[in-house]
Amino acid sequence: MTRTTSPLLTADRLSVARGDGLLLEDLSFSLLPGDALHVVGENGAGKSTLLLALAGLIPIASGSVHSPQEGVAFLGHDNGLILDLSVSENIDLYAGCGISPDPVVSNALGVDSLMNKPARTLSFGQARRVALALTCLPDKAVWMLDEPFAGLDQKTAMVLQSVLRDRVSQGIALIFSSHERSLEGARTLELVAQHLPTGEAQGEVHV
Amino acid sequence: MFSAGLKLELRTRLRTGLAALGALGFLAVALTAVGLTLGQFPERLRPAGPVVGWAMIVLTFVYANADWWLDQIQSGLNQRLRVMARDYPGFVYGRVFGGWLVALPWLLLAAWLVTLFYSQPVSAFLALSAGLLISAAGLTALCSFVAALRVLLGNVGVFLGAMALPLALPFVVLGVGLVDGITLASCAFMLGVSILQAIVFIVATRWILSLV
Repeated sequence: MTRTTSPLLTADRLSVARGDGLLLEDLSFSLLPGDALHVVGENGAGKSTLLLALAGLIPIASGSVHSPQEGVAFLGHDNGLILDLSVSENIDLYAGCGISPDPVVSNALGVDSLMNKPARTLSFGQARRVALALTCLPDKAVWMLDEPFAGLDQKTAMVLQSVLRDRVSQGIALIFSSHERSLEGARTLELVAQHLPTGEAQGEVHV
Repeated sequence: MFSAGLKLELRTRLRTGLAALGALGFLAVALTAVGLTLGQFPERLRPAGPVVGWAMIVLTFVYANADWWLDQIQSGLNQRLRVMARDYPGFVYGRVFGGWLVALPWLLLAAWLVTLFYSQPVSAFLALSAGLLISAAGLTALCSFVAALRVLLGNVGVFLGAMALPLALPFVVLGVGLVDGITLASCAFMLGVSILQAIVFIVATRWILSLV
C-alpha cells in the first residue's frame, strides 16, 4: 500500500441526529495512514451511529466526512451473511461482488474449517469470524469495525488484535468501537451520552 | 456484480419456497372470501372470477415482493455492499432480474389456481398466464422501487410506500382487459407498459439507493 501524508479519513464538525435531537455534535478528527482510533463510550453514546455516518449509511445533520471512494471496509453489528447459504457460498457471493477475503486473515481466523457449514448453524462468534474475514481486506485503505471483538473467544480476539496491528503498521487507517479490547498505539475517541432531552453527546479524542 | 445478485436471488428464493407458499395461501384465502361473499350468486361469480383472480394475484405479488425487498435492502449484507462493493447498483439489478425469473412459476401456479377455483376454460388460464408473465417484469421492478422508497424515508416511508402501490393499477386495468379478450395487440401493449415501467422503476431504485 502506498503511504501518503494526507488523511485517509476526515470528519469535520460532524453532527448526526437520532430521534429528536443531535446524538453526535461537532466531532472533528482525521486519520492518516497507519492511524488507529478506538471509539469508546457507554451504550447509547453514539459509537455505532458514528461509524454508520462515517460509512455514509445514515445521513449527517451537518459537517462533512471525507473518505476514499471505494476504499472503505465496513463491518456493523449485522454480519451481512445470508443465513440460507453455506459459508463457502457466502464467500462466493462476496467474491462475485469483488470482495475476496485475504487468505492469511481467513486462515488466522479459522474460517477454512467453517466452509461447509450453513451460515444459519454458526455460533455468533463463528459468524463474526467469517464476517471479519470478509471485511479485513488488504485493498481497502480505511477499515471501520463496529465491535469487532464481540463474541470472539480469547484466542481469536488476540489473533484479530494481531491482524489489526499488522495492517495498521502497513498503512491502513482503522477506526473501531469496542467495549472489550483496545489496540496498542491507538488513539481513543470517547463519546459521552449526556442523557439530556436533546440526547446530545460530545466527543473528545485522547492520544 | 449483476451475476452475483442474480445468483443470490435464485438461490435464496428457491431455498425459501415457504414464502411463496405463504403468498399462495393468502391468495387462496382471498379467493375463497370472494367466493363466499358471492356464493349465493354463482351466475355472477363465474364470469367475474378471472378478473377478481387477476387483481388478487397482482396485489398479492406486489405485497409479498415489496416486503421481501424491504427485508433485503435493510439487511447487513446490503449495508456492507453499499460501502464496499464496486458496482452496487449492478448487484441490485441482478437481484431484481432474479426475482422476476423466480416469480414466473409462482404466477403460473396462481393462474392455474384461479382457473380451477372459478371453473374457467383453458382460454382463461392462457389469458391469465400471458398477462401475468408479461406484467411480472414491471411489477418486480415496482416492488424494489417501493422497498427502496421505504428505506429512504424511514417511518414515513411506510405510508408513501403504500401510496406507491397504486402504481400497480395499470397492470390491474390492462390485465382485466386481457382476461376479457386476449389479442396480440393487447398483449403487445401490455408488454410495452411492463418494459417501460421496469426501466423507470429500476433506474429510480438505483437513484434512491444512492441517496440512502
